[in-house]
Parts: sequence; structure tokens; C-alpha cells
Amino acid sequence: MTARLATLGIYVALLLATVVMVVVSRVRPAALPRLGQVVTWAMRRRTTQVGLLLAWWWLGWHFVTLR
Amino acid sequence: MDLAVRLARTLVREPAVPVLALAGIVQVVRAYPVDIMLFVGSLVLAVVLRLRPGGDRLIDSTPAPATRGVILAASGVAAAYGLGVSFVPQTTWWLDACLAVPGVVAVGVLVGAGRRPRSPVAPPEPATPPRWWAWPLLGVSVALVELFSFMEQPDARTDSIDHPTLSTVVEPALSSQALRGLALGLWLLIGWWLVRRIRAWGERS
Repeated sequence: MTARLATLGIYVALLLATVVMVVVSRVRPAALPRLGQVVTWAMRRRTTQVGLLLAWWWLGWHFVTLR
Repeated sequence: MDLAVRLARTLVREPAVPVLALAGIVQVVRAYPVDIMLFVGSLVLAVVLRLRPGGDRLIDSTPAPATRGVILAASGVAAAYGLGVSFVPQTTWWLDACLAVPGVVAVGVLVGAGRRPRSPVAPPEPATPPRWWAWPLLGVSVALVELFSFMEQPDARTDSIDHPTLSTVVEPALSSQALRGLALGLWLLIGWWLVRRIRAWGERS
């Protein structure tokens, strides 16, 4: 297996883990809180709000622009 | 040992400033001036907010679920935005300007919310969701893979073929106008979701 395939495999595994966690949090909310619940709870601090806004904006900008 | 435990707990419960500092260091290594300004500026803003009397903790005030009409309106605006901006070439400054508009609005809401009257005493901590750490753990895992891939690059501005970063993997898909428009629409909806919460979390106790 090449290093490239291994890296891509890790990304796919992380994507699958995200899907599984989204499903589990919907089906069994007592076992795992939903992502939205955790983000809302994390936003109890203004500093976290700054970090989340930056992450949101920068990811959109970084992925879409090509310069 | 106690100090190390206390520092670790603080890092887990209040990670924004240290995470912004670490991300800022990565941006300095990447040597993109706009990214450095963004991350350092955000770090300064976070530190200013953290140092205010009473700290940066807010009153528990999760917004009420949006009505169907509001969701439809937001989806319509996001769809129009995604469609319109997908026509803007990816290599022009016009695209930066189109992306800057929602960001400036969101920062305006954040700064405006931070100016509301507040008590110098920090409000009580809201209830902690059980197993909340599972989601940040996933995010940290993605960040570590990204960091490893970045460190494997020949230099800060040349992608590694063996260890591509997430943006290198995703960029070909986003060269499709339809997928780019969809991604931009979703991105705007996520921003709207965040801004609703920023406006809801209160300052006065």
C-alpha cells in the first residue's frame, strides 16, 4: 500500500467515523450528544465563539479560493 | 503535578486561546500573510475578550429552534448565494470579496454582542453534555492528520503527493461549479447557525 493510499484511507475512515457519530447521536442521544449540542455548549465563552467563527470562515475561504 | 493537571484541565475547558496560538504558529510557518493576519487578529480579539472583568463566560441561552419560515428563508438566501458566487472565478479577488461579506457581518455581530452590558461576576457553568469530548476528539484527529501531511510537504507551499492535505484532496471536486455552489450554500448556512447562537448567548447576569 502506498503512503498516498494510506493517507486517503485515513481521511475516509475519519469521514465514516463522523457519519457513524452523527447517526448514533440521532438514534441514541443519551449515548452521544449531537454535534450541534456540543458546539452550542462550547459557545458559552466569547473566546470560543471567536475561534469557531474563524474556523468556519477560514475553511470556506481556504477550500474555495485558488490563489 | 497539580499545576500540570490544572493546566491540562484549563486547556480542555477553555481551549480557544491556546488553539488559536498554535494555529497562528502553523500559519506563520505556511507564510501566507493574509492567513497570519487573520489568525493573529483573532487571537488578539480572543485575548481582549478573555481579559474583560468577569472573564468571557456567558449566560446559558440556547436560541429557540428556528421556525419553518425562517429555515426556508435562510435556505433560499444560501442557495442564491451559492449559485451566484459559484460563477465567480476561483482565482480572482472578487471571490475573496464575496466570501468576506458573510465573515464581516458575523464579526460585526460578535463584536456588537460583546459590547452589551455585563456583570463583572462570571455566570454559572451550564450543564456539560455527557461524552462531549467525542466530537473534539474527532476534530483533533483530523487536525493531527492534516498537521502530519503538512509536515511531510517538501516546503510550506508545495503539496506532498504521498501525504496530501485535506484541501488538496477536496480542491479538484470544488473545481466543479455545481459542487462549489452547493458547498458555498452549506457554508453560509453553517455561518448563519453560528451567528444565531452568538446573538443568543447573553452578557447580563
